[in-house]
This record gives sequence, structure tokens and C-alpha cells, in this order.
Amino acid sequence: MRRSIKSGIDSTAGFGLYAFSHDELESIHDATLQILQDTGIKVMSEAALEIFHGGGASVERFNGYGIVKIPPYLVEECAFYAPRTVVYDARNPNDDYVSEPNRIGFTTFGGCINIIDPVTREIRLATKKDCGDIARISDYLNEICVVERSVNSMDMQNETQSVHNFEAMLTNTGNHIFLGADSARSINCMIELASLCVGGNDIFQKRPIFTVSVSPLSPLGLPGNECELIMEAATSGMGILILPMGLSGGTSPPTLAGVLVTHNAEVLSSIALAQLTRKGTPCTYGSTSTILDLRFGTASIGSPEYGMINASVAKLARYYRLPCFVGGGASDSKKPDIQSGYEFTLSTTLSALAGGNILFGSGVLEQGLTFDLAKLIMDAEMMRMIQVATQGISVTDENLAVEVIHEVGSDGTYITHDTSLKHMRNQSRSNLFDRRNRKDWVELTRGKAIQERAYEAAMDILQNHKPLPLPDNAAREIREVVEAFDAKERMDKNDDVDESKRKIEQF
Amino acid sequence: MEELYGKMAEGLIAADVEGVSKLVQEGLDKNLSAKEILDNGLIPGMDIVGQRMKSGEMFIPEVLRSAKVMQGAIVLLKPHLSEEDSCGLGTVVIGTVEGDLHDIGKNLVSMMLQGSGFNVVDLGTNVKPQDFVEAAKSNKAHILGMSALLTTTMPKMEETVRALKESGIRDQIKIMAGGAPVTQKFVDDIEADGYGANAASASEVAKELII
Ligand code: B1M
Repeated sequence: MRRSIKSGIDSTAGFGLYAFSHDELESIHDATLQILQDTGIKVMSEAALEIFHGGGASVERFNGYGIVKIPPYLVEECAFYAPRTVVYDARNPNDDYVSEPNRIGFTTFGGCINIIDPVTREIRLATKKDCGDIARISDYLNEICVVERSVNSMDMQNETQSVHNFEAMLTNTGNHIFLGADSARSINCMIELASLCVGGNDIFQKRPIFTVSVSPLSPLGLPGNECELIMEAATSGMGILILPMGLSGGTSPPTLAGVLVTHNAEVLSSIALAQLTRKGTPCTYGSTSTILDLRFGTASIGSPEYGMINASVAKLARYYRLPCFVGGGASDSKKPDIQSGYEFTLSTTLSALAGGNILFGSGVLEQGLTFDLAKLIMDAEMMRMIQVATQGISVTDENLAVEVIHEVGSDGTYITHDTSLKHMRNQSRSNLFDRRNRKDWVELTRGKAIQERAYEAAMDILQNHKPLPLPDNAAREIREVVEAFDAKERMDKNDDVDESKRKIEQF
Repeated sequence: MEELYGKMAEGLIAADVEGVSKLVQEGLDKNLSAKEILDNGLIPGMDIVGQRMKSGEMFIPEVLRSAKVMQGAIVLLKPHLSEEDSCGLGTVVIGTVEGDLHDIGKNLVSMMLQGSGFNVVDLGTNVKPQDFVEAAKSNKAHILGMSALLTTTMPKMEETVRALKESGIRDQIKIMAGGAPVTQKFVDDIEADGYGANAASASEVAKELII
């Protein structure tokens, strides 16, 4: 039999999510333009107000802030200046992450304050070591495409935590790094550290190995610190991630479409500030918006709405042709239990189907407050399953397998057929999730709970995984830079403390 | 009387503005003192609202509506209250500490406190220790409430406690603290007096503190 080539058939590569029609996306866009033009956005930085004014926005000043109204043409123009596709350069070039439309990858949740101690299982404040350990596990996990600052170095002094986070991450991962910064000074110090790791500032300029994340103040506010970080990052040639945390029913409208409008306005105005500071600044369209649970007053990230909002944001980012970093996989549960598994799966699957480039949320419990290594390991296994699922079913002549079916007929078996040998490795593979029969399961695990096996796997990775080493001397040099930064900040702070003490005494 | 008080509570739970105002007026007409109406009708009514909030039976927007009705009723009572009683259960000066912009939780707490019968002075976000002290003094506050959501701003709570001590008014005021990363232990460590895990328990704790 001969089958000729089929011409012009419709085909779909992978499973996806049809969240909005083009008209609906346009409606969200138009509503956003209207809000930015008529309601305006509250900007709490004089320098940023000047940049907006210079760019053609109208600025009305009040005590300590200004209301900026941005004309639609300026919003659209600025969104257009931001690069369409971003390659997130990595210290290890093999790990450069290309975020073209619909490419999906994963990372952990960020900014947690507690961790469940993997040894004692007690909840405690996270440390710099934890920050480095999680980076190392993330470096090991293939499913993780960029590394996010998952916890803060709480054992370090306040104003320097972000720099310590960065040091811990640089030494433990070769992947691109996403993290928040305490101040413009911290960004400069981070650039110095990164430059030492890549072989100089000129190389860093071409291959910025980290992105600074900033958060607008929902609803419709850009706080002074955010503006300062955006302007500093843009001026130094770095990319930014704009990550609003609107809470539907609290700081954002109770209707989810309305959340998308305020969220979009917060992101587009931040992008405008970045582009007006320096055209072409890479901007990642982010989101960790969700609902404020109006019964318990908590920022619920295990709710279906978290998945719905973040999948929708992925579609919006695609509409602007911008790379995106959206929520997926977080949980409200207090333990790495079945609730955390269900919650991970629902929101991650939605955001993955929507084509979000970087889906963040793994490893986290308790509304984003607490990190857990077992959850991270279990989540990674589920990410792999989701990657397989989103590939969808490819309908080709070979895959339809008519000849093979004919050959095997009703008497044969496929297990001995050559095609099984050829395709067997395309099957999803479980490692921690158990697919064996009961007897084998008992023999292999002694019935040990999956969480326990996950903690063991995490400890094993920590012991054995060696991330790409830093260049000779770099580890020592970055240590020195961090120490100097620490000392300088401490001195400045003591001056401040003396100042405030003096004021109190006067009072 | 019991029936009248019962109806006030029901009116508060249902957030019936007109109903509650009428009942309050009725009480005044029957020569009940404003303080009696507050203590026996309105405050117990808001206690029930608080309990229902805690159990998840009532949604926060409903609770806030009840709190608003409560505030309206207090306005009606104000001309009949002595100066001492006119701040209801007491005056609370509240704010989010210096360096911190998170205010959703603080706003909820402040609305719940108002709803429970406190006179609340809200200083907003990014409040410096000395501004807390100043506001506590000028408002003759009974309670000073601080909220912090960032571990990096929690030390400001301790600084504020210190500033209160240094200003000499520490003994005249109760200090409450809350916010996601704040714990009972932290509150004990910084020598504050009360910890609120959420808005409903914040108002319970506040009431206990001023008894
Ligand atoms: C006086 O007595 C009392 C008694 C009880 C009291 C009380 C006082 N105060 C509160 N309570 C208690 O009662 C309230 C009602 O039940 C409760 O209040 P809560 O405030 O806990 O609860 C609210 C009703 C709902 N919860 C919230 O509103 C907070 C939710 C989370 C997601 C959150 C939000 C929404 C925001 N954030 Co922020 N934010 C997070 C939060 C994570 C979390 N799950 O808590 C947290 C706190 N943030 C964090 C971070 C990192 C940041 N945030 C930032 C910004 C923001 C937004 C502006 C985007 C927004 C706040 C909007 C606003 N107007 O408040 C930045 C800092 C800005 C600043 N200087 O303050 C930024 C630094 C992010 C950045 N890179 O820019 C993390 C903390 C890290 C740390 N080291 O502490 C964080 C845990 C999230 C995370 N995992 O990253 C109780 O705590």
C-alpha cells in the first residue's frame, strides 16, 4: 500500500487552553488603556514622575506622590519596545533558557520566610544556607528552567539579605537567577558579583545572568522602591520581572476579569517606566495575583482562581508578545500532603496549558510563607508528568500506525513488536510516584510514605550534586565583595539608628 | 430590655442600618443610658459577628458592613456619652511599621476594631517609631497596634516598643502586634502585650488587653 503526503491539513501541536477569544483579549486591553488614561496610576517617586512626564504622560503632583495618566499610544508603544523573545542567559551556557511563545518551564515559588527543616521537620525561619540548598536542588532538577530566590537569608542583616541570597544562589546554580533586590545599591553589588562569575562586566552586559523582580502596589500603585529598582535595572542594562500580587476582593476587583484589567495596568505602566528609562529593556510579564479568601482573609494560592488568573495572564502576555512568569503550583496546605498535591496540579496544569513560559510555585506551602524540600521534589515529578501531558497526541501517519495494527491483527502482541522498542522511551516515567504492584512496592519502599522518600531524595541531591563550579578565585572574590557590602550597609544603618535615637530623645 | 438588645444584635448581624438606628433611638427614648446600649446591645452583637467571622460563617465584606452599621450607631450615641466613654472600648492607634507597605491585614484589623466598638486612629503604612509614639501621646491611646508583613521590617516593632519606653508612656499603653510572619513568641520577645493571628482574634485580644 502507498500513502501519499497529505497537503494542508490542520494540525495542533500539543494540548492547549483556549482561554479567551481575540475579541475578549482586545476588550481587556481596551479596558486597561482606558484605566491608564483616565484613572491613572499612583507613582511614589519623583525621578519616575519626571521620566513619565518627559515621555508624554500627564502628571499631577500631590504630597509625596503623583498621579500619572498615560495616553494609549504611549502604553502600546512602550509595550512594543520590550523585546519579544528573551533568552535568559545562564552562568552555565548549556542552561540558557529560551522563552519563545508557548515554551513552558518551571521554577520554585519565591520570597518565603519559613522552611520545614528537612531533618527535624520543625518549621523554622529560613537561612542563607537554605537559600543556597534550594538553588542547588533546583540546579539538579531538569524540570526547573531558571532558579528563583525561594527563601530569604533571614540570618543576615536586613538591608543586605538580597545580596546574600544572590551569593548563595550564584555558588549553587549555573542557571539564570530571578530575585528581588533591597535597593539600587544591592543591584549594583549583584552586578559586580555576577560580573566576577562570568569574567567581567563587558561579558555580563552581553549575558546578564539574572533578572530583578519588582512588585507594583495593587491597586494601581508603583511604590518608590519599585520605581528605583526599575530605573536602576534598566540603566544598567538588566532585565526586570514585573510581578503584581493583586488580591481579588482585597486590592483588586472581586470579578476576575476586573483583576486582569488592574493587573495589566500595573504591569504595562511598569513596562512604560522601564522603556522610557531605556528602550529595549527586557521585561518579563509576571503574575502571582490571586484571590483574597473573603471568609478567612488569606491570600489563597491553592484556590482554582490562582490557576485561572495566572493562566489568563499567560494569554495576556502572549497577546503583547512578551515572555511571562506566572503562578502555578503553589498551595495553602501547611504540610506536603495530599492537599498540596492536588493544589499544585490544578493551577500548574492550567498555566502550562495556557503556554506560560516560566511557571513558578513549586515547593511552597501556606500561602507562600513556607518552603518545603519534599514538596519541591514531589512537584518536580508532577512537572514531568505535566510536560508529557501538554505535548498532546501527535497524529501522523507513523503514529496512526495502520500498518502496524494490520500486522499485529487480533492475535499478535505489541510488546514484542519493533515499534514498541522504538517508542518505549516516549512514555512518561515515574520515579517517586509509585506504579509498581503492591508486593514490589512493599519490598522497595517498606511502605514508606512518599514525603519521606522525597526528603531522602532531597538530602541525596544536596550531598551529591555538584553545580558548575565558579571560575578560579571567583568564590573568594565574591565573598570579599559581599563582606565589604555588609560592612558598609551596617555602618550606614548605624548612622540611621543614631539619627532616629536622637530624634526620639529630642521628642 | 433583653428583647431590645437581642434585636440590636440581630440588626447588626444583618447590617440593617435603619433598623439598628431605630432600635438605638428606641433605647434612648426608654431612658437607657448610651453606655448601657453600647455594652449590652451593640458590643455583644458585634461579638457574635466576630465569632461568625472566625468560623467562616460570615464573609469579611458582610462583617465590614456590620461594622459600618455599628459605627453609625456609635455616632448616634456619641452626644449622650461622657468624654471617657465616647471612645467606646478605648482608643487604638494602629499602623504598618516603617519600610512596610502591606496594609490589607492592618486595614481589616482596624475595621474590625472599629466595628467592635474601639475608636481607631489609623496612621497608614510606613510609620516610623517616633510617629507611633507621637500619635499615641496626642490621641491618649489605650492600645498601640503594629502590623508588619516583612521579616525585614519586624525589627521596627521592637524599635517602636523601645521608643515607647524611652518616651516614658510605656506603662500607660498596651501594645499589640500582628502580620503573617509575626508570632506569639516574637511578641513576647519584644515585650509587647498582645498578638493577633487574624482580624477576629485581634479584636478579642484588644478587648482582653483593656479589661
Ligand atoms: C495590631 O495588631 C494586629 C493584629 C493582627 C494583625 C495585624 C495587626 N496585622 C495583621 N494581622 C492579622 O490579621 C490580618 C487579617 O486577618 C492578617 O493580615 P495579613 O496581612 O497576614 O493578611 C491579609 C488579610 C492578606 N494577606 C496579604 O495581604 C499579604 C499577602 C502577600 C501575598 C503579599 C502581598 C499581597 C503584597 N506584597 Co508582599 N506579600 C506577601 C504576602 C504573602 C502572605 N501569604 O502573607 C509577602 C509578605 N510579601 C513578600 C515580599 C517579598 C514582598 N511584598 C511586597 C509587596 C507586596 C504587594 C504590594 C504586591 C502586596 C501588598 C498590597 C497591600 N496593599 O498590602 C514587596 C515589599 C513591599 C514593601 N516595602 O512593603 C516584596 C519585597 C516583593 C518585591 N520583590 O517587591 C514576602 C515576604 C518576604 C519577607 N522577607 O518577609 C511574602 C511572604 C510573599 C512572598 N512569599 O514573597 C493577620 O496577619
